[in-house]
Amino acid sequence: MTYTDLIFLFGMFPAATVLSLLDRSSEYKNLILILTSLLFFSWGRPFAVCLIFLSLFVDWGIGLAVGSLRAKSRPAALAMTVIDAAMNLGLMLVFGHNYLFEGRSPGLEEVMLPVGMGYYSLRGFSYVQDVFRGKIRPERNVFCLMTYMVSFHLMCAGPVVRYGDMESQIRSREVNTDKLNAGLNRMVWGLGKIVLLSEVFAKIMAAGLNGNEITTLGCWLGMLAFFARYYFLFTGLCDMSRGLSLVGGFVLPLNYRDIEPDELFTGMVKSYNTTVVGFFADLLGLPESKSKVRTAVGAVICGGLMGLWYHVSLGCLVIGLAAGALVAAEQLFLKDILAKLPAAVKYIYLVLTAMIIFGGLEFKSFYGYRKWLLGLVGVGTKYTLSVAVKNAVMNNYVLILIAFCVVCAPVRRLITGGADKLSAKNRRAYSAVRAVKTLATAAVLVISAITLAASASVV
Amino acid sequence: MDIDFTKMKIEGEKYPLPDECEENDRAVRFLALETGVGHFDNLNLLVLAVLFIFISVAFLAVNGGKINTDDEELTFSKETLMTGEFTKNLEERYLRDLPLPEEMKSAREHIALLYGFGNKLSEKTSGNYTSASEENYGDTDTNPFDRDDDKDKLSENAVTTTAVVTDKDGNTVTEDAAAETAPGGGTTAVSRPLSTLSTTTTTGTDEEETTTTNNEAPVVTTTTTVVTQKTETSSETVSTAEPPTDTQTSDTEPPVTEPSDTDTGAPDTQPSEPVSSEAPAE
Repeated sequence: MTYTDLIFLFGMFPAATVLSLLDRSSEYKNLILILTSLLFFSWGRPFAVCLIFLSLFVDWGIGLAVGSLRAKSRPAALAMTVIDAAMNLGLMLVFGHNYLFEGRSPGLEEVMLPVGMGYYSLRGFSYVQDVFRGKIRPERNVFCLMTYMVSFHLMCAGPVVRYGDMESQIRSREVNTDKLNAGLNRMVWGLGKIVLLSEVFAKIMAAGLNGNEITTLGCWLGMLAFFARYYFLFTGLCDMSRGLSLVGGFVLPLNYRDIEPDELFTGMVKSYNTTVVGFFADLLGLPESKSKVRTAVGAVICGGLMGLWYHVSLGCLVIGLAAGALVAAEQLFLKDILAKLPAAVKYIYLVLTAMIIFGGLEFKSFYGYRKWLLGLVGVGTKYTLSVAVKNAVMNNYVLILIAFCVVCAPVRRLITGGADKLSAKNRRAYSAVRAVKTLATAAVLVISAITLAASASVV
Repeated sequence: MDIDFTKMKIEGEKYPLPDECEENDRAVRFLALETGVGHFDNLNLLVLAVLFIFISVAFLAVNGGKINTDDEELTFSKETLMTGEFTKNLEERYLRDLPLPEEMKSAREHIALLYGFGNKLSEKTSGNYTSASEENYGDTDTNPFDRDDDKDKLSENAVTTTAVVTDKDGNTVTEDAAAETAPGGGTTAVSRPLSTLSTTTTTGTDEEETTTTNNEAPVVTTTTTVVTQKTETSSETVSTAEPPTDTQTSDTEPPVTEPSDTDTGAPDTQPSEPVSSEAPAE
């Protein structure tokens, strides 16, 4: 089951919300959350439930063992932590599946579990690692750990929340109208990003990166659409995840932020899946590092690990290492040179580096990647723009403009700032702005529901 | 600035302020309600909650006017639950029973008119809809930029036709029916899935038969039209290049058209030059 399944959106989610609101106690809410989460996972794949229970109890047991051993024998505690890391790594390698690059795992399609095993494994390991480092106490109540591990709020796109940040909320939390309102709003806008915006860029991508009619502008627009598609898919899932959590009473950290040109490529990498980047950086001890060289080497290793975490393949490893190498180069010397450039040039630098490095994710072989790179400069292409790309853009230019306003932080700030200024004028203006906002949110919900239902309906 | 801040701090200390976060939150909520912000928040929540509940109930309760009597597929047992069959069938049934599918499709197309130029409304059909999974935008499995290593294999859409073989007298020689490889009596070298099969057989005589079979489509439309013209020909050689344009009307009886629902049998006459073409799969 995924967040955009109709049976989840208009079946399981409302039912789970209504059920959890029947009682104020956190224990009851946790029970409902565990039951609905297990239903969410086991939908069509009951094997996932067995796996989750098995690994969950192992994490819990190892956590307790590490907690008791770390004071007596640190090597023994370390050995237990390594065993837990190996188990979670194994789970991720065999069953790992990430929605961002679905269907690209080599030969493991039959056993793959579409439940965000990458995020699940990281959560399990982060718990034991934090116990080993003494950041948290080992959890004695397995149901509290179960709520943290299996919560469907955290599965599709993270964030990788540490158990220490969640523990107090698991034990005691309040669901009020503010949280419900904010959660529903965020969830609806996230749904709109996935259903409406991401799909538009999928069409442009399919038209632009079409091997039968390779055109220069098609190569550019197709790859930009590739990034836009996955950006809206990921941020939409994150927004839905955060919204669902708020409706359930949890407050989660943000998993993405605006791209700032001053932070260069390093900042761009860190702005996407921030909690996962933070986890790997923490694992390698990069935040505490004072040596530039050590930070640079750590960045390359961190890039490789993240590449493998996204997708277990040689291509992703190479792309991750390349991204890490550029981050390292920026840390060592490039940052000082590029800092003096104007913002527009920095944006161009960001777009080009992202396209050249991460564009490789779209291609299965170097042959295809090379063909696309040559297409960017017009080599091997007969025409500048194909009719299919033009139509895909023209048919959806309103949605593309909206997407641009969402992505481009200065434009978005201009619009929201204008609305704030207008609403601050008087009570009537404020009422009008709020009414428009409510209507827009309702419209997004209705249009998304119609789009999903029209796509899914079978006569 | 510092002086102002100190003054405010001194003023603030005169009044007892709650220290607990929860009480602060309550005070903020109260103030928000007082200023009207909270009312709009509640209104927003009400609108969204009502919409969610309305859509949920409509999707669950309204089943497009159909009454499902076939509930055998939804058998709840340990086996069906453990294999995931039960949940799969439940979801399939939920999607099948979504209300007003044609109207939904039409509404989506009307909404798409607002997205940009050039979007068109499709003609209202009898309702063979494709599901979302069939809509393929940028499938990463088949990257078109990558090298095609399967050149040796026959393409799914490749159609091979046999050349016309004539004997020494110039008469067309037809092969045995057993030599034909494609199902349905065609000469296509690639075996097609049985789900979709379309065969058109044209002969040099004035006989034409078209048979279309779509076994797995939701609505099966099988139409066979047989146009028979009994002609008396004096020549033994049959022109196969193009259909005859000159009909001997004096010796020909009026054409008889017999529409029938299902007829996938062999043609009445042996084709002298079989030409097969396959329609792309739906």
